Amino acid sequence: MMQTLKWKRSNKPLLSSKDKAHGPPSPTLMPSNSSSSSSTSPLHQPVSLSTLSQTTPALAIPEIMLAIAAFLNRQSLTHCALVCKDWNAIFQPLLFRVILAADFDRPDFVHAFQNHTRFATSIEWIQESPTYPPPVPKKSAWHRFFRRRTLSSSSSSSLRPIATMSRKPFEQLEHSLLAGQTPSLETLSVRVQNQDPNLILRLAASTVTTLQISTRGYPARKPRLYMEDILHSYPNLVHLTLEGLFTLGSHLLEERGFDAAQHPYFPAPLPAPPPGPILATAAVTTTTGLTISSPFPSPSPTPQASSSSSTTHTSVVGVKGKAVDRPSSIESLSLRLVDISQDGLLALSALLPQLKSLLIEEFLVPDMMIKTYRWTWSPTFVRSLRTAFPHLQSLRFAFPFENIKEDTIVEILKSFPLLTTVGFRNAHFGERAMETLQEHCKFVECLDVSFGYGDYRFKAALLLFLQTWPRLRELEADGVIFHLDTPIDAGVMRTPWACTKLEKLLCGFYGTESMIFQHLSQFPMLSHLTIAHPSLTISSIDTTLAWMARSTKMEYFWFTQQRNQVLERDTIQWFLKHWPNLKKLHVAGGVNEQKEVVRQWCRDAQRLSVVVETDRY
Amino acid sequence: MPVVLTSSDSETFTVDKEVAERSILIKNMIEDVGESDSPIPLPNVSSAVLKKVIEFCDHHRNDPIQVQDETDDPRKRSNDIEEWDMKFMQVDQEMLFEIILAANYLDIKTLLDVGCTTVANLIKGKTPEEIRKLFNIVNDFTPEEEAQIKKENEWAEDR
Repeated sequence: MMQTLKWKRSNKPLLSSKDKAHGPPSPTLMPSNSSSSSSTSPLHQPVSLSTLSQTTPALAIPEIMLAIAAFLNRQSLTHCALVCKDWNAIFQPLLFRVILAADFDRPDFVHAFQNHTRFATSIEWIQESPTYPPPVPKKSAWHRFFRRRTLSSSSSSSLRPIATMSRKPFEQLEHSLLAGQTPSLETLSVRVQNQDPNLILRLAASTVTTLQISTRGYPARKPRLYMEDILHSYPNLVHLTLEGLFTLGSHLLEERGFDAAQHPYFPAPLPAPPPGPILATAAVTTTTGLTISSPFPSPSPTPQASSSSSTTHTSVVGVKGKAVDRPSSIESLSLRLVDISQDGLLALSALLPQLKSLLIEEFLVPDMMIKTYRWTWSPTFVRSLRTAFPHLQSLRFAFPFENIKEDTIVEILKSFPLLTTVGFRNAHFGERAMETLQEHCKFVECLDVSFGYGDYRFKAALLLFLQTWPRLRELEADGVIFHLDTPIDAGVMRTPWACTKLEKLLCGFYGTESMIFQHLSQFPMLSHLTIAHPSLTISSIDTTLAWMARSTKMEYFWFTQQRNQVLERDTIQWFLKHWPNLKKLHVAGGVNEQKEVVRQWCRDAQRLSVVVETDRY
Repeated sequence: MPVVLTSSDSETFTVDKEVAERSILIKNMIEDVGESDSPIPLPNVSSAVLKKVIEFCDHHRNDPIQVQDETDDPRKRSNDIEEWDMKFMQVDQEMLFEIILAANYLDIKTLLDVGCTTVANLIKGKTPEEIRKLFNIVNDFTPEEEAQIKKENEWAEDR
């Protein structure tokens, strides 16, 4: 490349004498020719490569082979690995790059993987094997739950739920990973069944940057996972997702004991800003807390720490040299169902000084009732949250009981002016919150206000926002239905939305299908579209879908079919023709028998990668 | 302002700057050197191939430029090609690989992807022997070696 950059100086075609069309065009393009052959095809018949390069030079360049391989499925990769020695050297490792959960069901994979761990970049492991027994009927769920609780004190293995029988032993994953080095492993996703998530920390891998730990059910006692332990096992994490019914804590909070519990939000002994000294304490605790055996230093390092009104970051560095050699690199933390207290979250800040994105999501599952909500969202807490995580750019909360009040939301929005992603599901996100957002959070690009207030004034505020906020890329407003059939909606004059760069949209509409699609045609960048209301027929394409021909980026489309109305083949074929990137089509409602037919149409159109989803009923 | 490109066989092509800059290589060269009337020599690309490449860039002149590091996770890659691209790629094998080499050299991600997808679709569903025939590759495995590899990879066969 460098010599081509000199074209201005030499200013003449370099190679008029060079051979034409085919044959290796230049040495820069063909460096692999000799090296790959000498390294990979020893012994007999080294002809293969020279044959290759004569006929199809591109096939001798590993770089291009890898680019081609990216489009091949596993089966094709195995066939390629059998073609010749050079190909084997390229394709064989690729089989082990992305390991899916189902691979572990093959004993021969488990065996083969032990010699190929170094190629793995991503591993997924799910404890339940596919022969998982049918779920216990809903009726007896409570019975099962109570029985497990009452007997838990004398817990013996015989009382474990039936699921244990079809469970793969965790050792399978552990032994596979410990069989060799895993220098390329970046993504690890593990789901255990009725087991303690702490098990997963045994896999300790310093190269992992994305970690997901999920649990289904839990053993007799609700497990606790400690952030210090996670960071000890996975020191280079950037993205951490925890999901399941367990508690996330930190040693430092626990060892501080009743202090924190009785005096909410770490009241400082000095009239200094509340969390400052505490954070410093936390940092000190962290370093010692990592070696679990070491006793907690007397819970009074506050004077020392508060004397230096330093930030969390520097405190950690200050006491460096023991267990933690540097602050964690975690930038995003997602907690689904995981139990964490307000104090617990604040205490984590010492460990996560670089946190940019926080997601806390609760949804109702049968076992949920054992959780009690201790989150009060007091103004003190919100202030502490700001001090604890000053770099947050993405904040998403979803709690099932609407327990975030509008005052709280307003306070949070004012506290984090750098937010680009704001999500308050099931919350009292109303007119005032909407206005605060526009006034204080100038960078918002993604907004989720699903299942919120939904009153007239909120809708008016949301409409005004949409009409004046070109920056918006994602809007999720489940439960909000916009009028397209009247000139005035919620008291606001309807004008085109300013957010023409919208990529993701979830909402409902009033109006004819033609109006809806005409409205949507203003957003040519749409890739994820959910029309929550009304049910659609999409029958006359000319007046509906024809509007969407520009939206070639569409990947996901969710809509409800009108009951007893059959989708026409033309409609599906239109999707497939005009939306080359379509990956998922969700057809809710409608005629049941048709779902399979739609799938077949996709297959007929050679669009095997399109997933057709339907509702369960 | 139009840009003049010279192929390896000294044929010159005049194209819009917008079209030429679909190639990151050319884009960088223009940025480095600044506006200039002198032709840009492309010693690795023949006129026949360059003609095809320009045709592709012209058709896709308004597409957004793809971000380089999208994802190399094979699960997320789709094998679907737009109709126009598919027709565009209906060329003989020699030309197909010439285009891929040129796309690689000129750094045109979308063209490289379309080319590689086309090759991948050729490979798909074929047995190793059929692949060898397709690309004229000599099998340098002993039957024992081949059987051994086949056995080791059995687990990946049905997916």
